Parts: sequence; structure tokens; C-alpha cells
Amino acid sequence: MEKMGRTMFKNGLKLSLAAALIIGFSGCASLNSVSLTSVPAHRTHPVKTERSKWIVLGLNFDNDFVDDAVEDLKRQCPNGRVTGILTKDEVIAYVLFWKRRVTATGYCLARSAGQSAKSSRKSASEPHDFGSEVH
Amino acid sequence: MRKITLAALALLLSACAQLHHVQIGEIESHPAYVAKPFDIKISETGVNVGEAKEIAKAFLDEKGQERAEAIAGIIGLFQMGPRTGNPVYVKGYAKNLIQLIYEKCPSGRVTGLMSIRETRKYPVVSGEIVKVTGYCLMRRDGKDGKDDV
Repeated sequence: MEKMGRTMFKNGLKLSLAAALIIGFSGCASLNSVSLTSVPAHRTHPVKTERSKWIVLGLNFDNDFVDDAVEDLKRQCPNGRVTGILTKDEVIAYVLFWKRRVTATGYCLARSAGQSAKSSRKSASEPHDFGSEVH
Repeated sequence: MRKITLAALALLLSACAQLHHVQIGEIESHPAYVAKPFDIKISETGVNVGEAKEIAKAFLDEKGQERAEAIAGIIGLFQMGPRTGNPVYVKGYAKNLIQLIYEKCPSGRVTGLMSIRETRKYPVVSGEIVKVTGYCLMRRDGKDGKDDV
């Protein structure tokens, strides 16, 4: 009888521990802000960047983790325009610590090689001249 | 004891940063242009009346504490509503942002703008910051001017 009681207690303890772990590691997500730029008609070349930071006990001394997000998108579309950018700023909260995550997705409208060479020769060409987009 | 005081001071004086909003604009790259990065930071002092009240109460007698509570309550009535960070007392502190961008990039070919709204929290006061980073596109051949903007 005593042995059975001890086993039940042990099982209960294990179950509680498992429940605590599940609760502790499944984060609650909350959305801080969302922004969107104009979406292109041709959406064949998606680009994405994600920047995140773990914050323990609310101690965060800078937000520099987002600084190179634009550079990363630019790198994925070296000769074109990134448009239709959806920027999501969210927090995933766990017990005593949370993850700050900024995600930006968009579409790269690349220039054709011919158009690029032509526009390089023409001094009057402006960077927003994306008349014939190639995907 | 001294170590604890130093640690507490360091913690108090190093501001906690809180991110409110991030927005990324369209990004252009062009072989005929060089992208020169720039950043602009505008900041204004915010005041947390609640924290100021709590600190004042620690130094006041019972009557003073009641007065501090009443004053904070009245000020609080004028600061209701949705906001990010602490209230500031200069309402147009970010209004020259576009002008500042043009100063950084006279050609006007601005791309990859990322605007960040954040707060640097100190005890009672805070820095209410608007930060903008971006790229100014400049011609490789050096023929940059306002005329072709």
C-alpha cells in the first residue's frame, strides 16, 4: 500500500514537472507592430530577413539587433528593388525571459542585364526606373 | 556593500531599451549608384509621473504624500490615452525629420529607410527616441545634383 502511494506520488511529480516544462517552453506570442509597403504584381522572388534577441528578466540595453535587417534584404537583391515589405515586430514570452523578433519579408524585382547596362550608360537614368522587371 | 551599491548604480544608470515600432521601406540597388548609409536620431525627454510620485513620497511626510498622490492623479488625467513610452512636453520634436533626411541626402535619392521608435528608460525620466537609418544613392560618375532629383 505504501509502495503504491510512493509510486503515485512519483508519477504525479513527474507529470507536474512535465507540465511546468511545457508551460515554460511554449511561448506566448504578442504582436507589437506591422507595416507594409506597396505590393508588386509579380511576386516570384521573395526575400526574407529575421533578427531576434533574447531578453532575460527584462534587461535589455540596446535594440541594435535590428540595424542590419535592411542590409540583409539589400544583399538578397543586389541589382533591383525590394518592395512589398511586410515588417513584423513581435515578442515571444517565456517564463522570466522573452524573445524579441523582427521579421521582414518582401519581393525582389530584379533588373535584366540589358536594362542594367543600358541604364549605366545613360547618365540621366534614375534608380527608380524599373520599366521592364524581370523575375 | 560597496560592490552592491556600485552594481545598483550601474544598473540604474545604464538605460533599459524598449523597442516600440520598426518599419522598413522599399530598398533599391542600382549599378550606376553608390549607396551611402546614414542615420538620424531624434530624442526628447519623457517623464514618468508615477515613478516621480513614488520617489517624492519616500521623502515627504504623510500630508505631503497625500498631496503628491493628488498632483500625480491630476497630471495623470491629462496624460490618458494610447501612447508609446513616457509622455514628453515638446509635442513636435520629430517634425523636422524629413528636413534632416534631406540634409543628410541632398540629392533626395533616399532608399532603404528603416524607422525605429524606442525608449531608453532611466529612473523617472526616459529618452523617447525616433531613429531613422537609410541609404543615400549617389552617382558613381560623381554627377550628383539636386537638378535631377
